Amino acid sequence: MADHVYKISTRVIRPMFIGVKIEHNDEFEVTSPPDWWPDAPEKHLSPYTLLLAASASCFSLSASKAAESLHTSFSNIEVKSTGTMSENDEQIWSFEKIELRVKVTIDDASQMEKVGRAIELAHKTCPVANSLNCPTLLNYEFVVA
Amino acid sequence: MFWYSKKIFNRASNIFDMPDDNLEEHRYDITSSWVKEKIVTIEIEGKPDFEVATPPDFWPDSPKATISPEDLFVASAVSCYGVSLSGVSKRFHAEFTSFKISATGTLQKGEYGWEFEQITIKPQIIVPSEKDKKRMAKAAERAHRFCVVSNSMKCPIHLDFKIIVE
Repeated sequence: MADHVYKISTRVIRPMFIGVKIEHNDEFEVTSPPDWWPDAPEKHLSPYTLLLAASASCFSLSASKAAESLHTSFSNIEVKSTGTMSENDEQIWSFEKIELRVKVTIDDASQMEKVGRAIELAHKTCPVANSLNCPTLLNYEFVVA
Repeated sequence: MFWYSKKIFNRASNIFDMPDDNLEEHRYDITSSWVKEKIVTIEIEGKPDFEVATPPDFWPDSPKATISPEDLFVASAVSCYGVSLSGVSKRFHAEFTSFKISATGTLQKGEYGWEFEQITIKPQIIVPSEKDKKRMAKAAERAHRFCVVSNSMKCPIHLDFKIIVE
């Protein structure tokens, strides 16, 4: 497939609840999170958590690809992601920063430098981070299994 | 039909998503864990875990029923717009019978690799009267201007809405 085109559709299910349909997947409901809407149900995803999920998963998958291109590998990667919003002078809210705290497990300490380069490369090339206005901050550590 | 490009508007205050004043911070935490090559999980407290994979345009063997980071990126923009529209229309006293929104995001090669070139959001809003149509046109534009997710994106977010009286 040559084109990198992503199509999503949504519909209103009831006030404040949006059904999101991604091709080949079941529709799921999204609504505002509790910090914006105190009556928000707990188990629903919000647009903001979807954006964070895009960021964290993009980083992990980019790391795998980067490791492969540098002929190295890791046995596990865990990303904890925190997104923080702020309001500007015009009272517009947006994400101020996304922080990725990454734990990379490697079997062989000699691979640390190469895997480190793969992690840095993933951070630089992740399409989601490169499409955001806010900085994506990376903090990573190694665990040698 | 109306066209708006996010980047050409000055952005004013967020009239829909008024935060709870008792909460000083708007922070969101998630975890992503490794499953196997090209597949990871997303874990969000209190919500069911799900898997995310490299999309088929980068990995032909990608499992069809697994969403990609790129899908999530576009879904966050379009769902933010949908939730905003639902709230803003109420504030503008614009009634709607239903709405559906389609969105398409495209990638291009950037300085450091792939990045989103643009996202186009196409809402189709059904309203009961001409009076609602006028009000809804304002609400549709306002929801776009104040959407937190698209305000956090670097690529242009185009809005192309259609309001139908039925």
